[in-house]
Amino acid sequence: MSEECTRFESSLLELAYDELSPALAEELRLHAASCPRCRKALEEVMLTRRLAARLEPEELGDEIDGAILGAASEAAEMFSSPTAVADPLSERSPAPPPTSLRRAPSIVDRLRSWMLTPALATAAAATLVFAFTFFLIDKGSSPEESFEMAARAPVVAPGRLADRVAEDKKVAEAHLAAARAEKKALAGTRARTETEDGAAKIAAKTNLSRTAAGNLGTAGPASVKTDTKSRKRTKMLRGAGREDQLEGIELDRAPAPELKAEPAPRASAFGAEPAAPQAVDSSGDGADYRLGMAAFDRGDCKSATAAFKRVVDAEGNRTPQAMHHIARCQKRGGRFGGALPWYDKLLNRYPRYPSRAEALLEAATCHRRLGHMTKARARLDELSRIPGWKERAEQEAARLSD
Amino acid sequence: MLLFLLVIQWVEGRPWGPPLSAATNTDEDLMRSFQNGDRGAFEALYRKYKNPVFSFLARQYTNRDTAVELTQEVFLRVIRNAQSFRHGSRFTTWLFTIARNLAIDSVRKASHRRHASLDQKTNEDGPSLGDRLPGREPDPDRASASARLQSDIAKAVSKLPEEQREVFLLREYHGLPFREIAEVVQAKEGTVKSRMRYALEALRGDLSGWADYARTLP
Repeated sequence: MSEECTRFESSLLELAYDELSPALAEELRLHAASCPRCRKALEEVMLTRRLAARLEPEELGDEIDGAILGAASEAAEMFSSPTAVADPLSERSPAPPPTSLRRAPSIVDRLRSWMLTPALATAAAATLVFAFTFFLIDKGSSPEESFEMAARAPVVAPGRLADRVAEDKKVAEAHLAAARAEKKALAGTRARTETEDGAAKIAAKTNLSRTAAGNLGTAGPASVKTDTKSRKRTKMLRGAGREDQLEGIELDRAPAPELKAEPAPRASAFGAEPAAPQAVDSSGDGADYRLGMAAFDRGDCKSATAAFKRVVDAEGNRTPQAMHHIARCQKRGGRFGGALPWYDKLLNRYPRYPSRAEALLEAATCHRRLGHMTKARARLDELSRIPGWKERAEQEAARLSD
Repeated sequence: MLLFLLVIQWVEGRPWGPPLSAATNTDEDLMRSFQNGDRGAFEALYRKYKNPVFSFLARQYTNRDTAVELTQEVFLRVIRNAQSFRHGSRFTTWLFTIARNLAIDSVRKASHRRHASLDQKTNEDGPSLGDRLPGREPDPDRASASARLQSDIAKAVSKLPEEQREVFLLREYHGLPFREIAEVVQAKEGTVKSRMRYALEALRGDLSGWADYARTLP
């Protein structure tokens, strides 16, 4: 086998799947044109691919759309919440240790991680925004709070920088006012309790003894107010390797503001329970609804239906969601005729039901499966009038004609 | 220097904001938008990948019902871990890695692997997998040939060893380059290509009766 044939064979798959540069691909095709062996090898792969492409993909109906999109809505709300984003104790950005004890980051490590990120222009513009915001924020806030608030500022084109800076200043001041109000409310007992936990954490992270860490009086690693003199002294001592003398330094015991959201609310909210259309749980039907959801999730439609029927009978806040799930249980079991009365009841009684679009689509599907094309079209007409659903309704309507 | 270090800290800790130039609506852009609270961006990703993920799971690992559950879990995990998605990586790699890992865990827990036979009913009143393979050609003869072809292809793919099948599915039906597939399946690129070659060889053998028909296809 010639060298060219060897090269062709080693690149055959990339050639067949268009993963090569145009120049190299052209070179290999020219070789295949003149080499029967390589030509045959390429043809066999391409024939197999042509056959494989005939396989229709498996398609998923709309069974899980409501749950997924509901969860996404909740998540999106949390992501855009100022409290969640400013959270210094957020899981995704572990808070740095107090300023006075922070080790100077290794320049090589920082450079390395920086070089791996794209868009240096974005970094430059972000630096400018951050710098303006950092110096405009009241000095009473901790560096960490200022940092997080400044970092929230989205990147903008330089032309609008002045406007955005003024806007950011207002946002930052609002955050600061909120943080101070929370700080006052949380002073006292909680600070003392959490100081001990914070002391243990800091002691574990640093070389200080637990006593010295306790002297920091922090409720968490997020923010510790230190007076300038103490901070300078601490830096000097650490720099001179005299950390054993840190214990004597008196530091402000102001507790960190409780800015954090509940630990991992995002994860726990979605736990094992898909976020079906949610309602405020102010009635006693919460337990039955949860039972129903648990049964629904594990595929036990009989138990789920029984639990949801109790919710419907109680006529609480979750009645429409329960009706929807009963209908889905019927549909899931292929009992389209049994599902439709529940869909009709839901759609007639609750015109403002948040997942109305999903219910209409599912009802249309049931009608289609039973051969009720006219009724299916009627539901799809209604669906097409809901913002954002016109295209989907048209696609489904087209299937009715097939 | 302090300013520089503070920017570095910000870069390490947070996702990038939207780019200065107009959005190109790549999957990564959509994820970035979702990380900033744009629900519509996630919905666009979900609509785009719902069927591909489901198809991959249904063909690779399990029966339809379990594939539905796993698909739901995949997207719930995407939502839960949205903020941990870093923009150096590709969304498809991340998504299919989650799907594959979930499916493997599911199979391990069930401690057996079932590949739906084409005659197995997927639910009480529903059609079997074979019945669900439609032929779309208007000509009745071609329609039945197409249905038979699909049935043969599905059988041939399901016969592939798991390692070859997953590589084949990801490359052929989901368009992941070999480099990305290597990340998903946690193997070297050379190994991935090798599995792909064996898969294509096996399929060629199983579908040899359709070779002439394949020559007529575009």
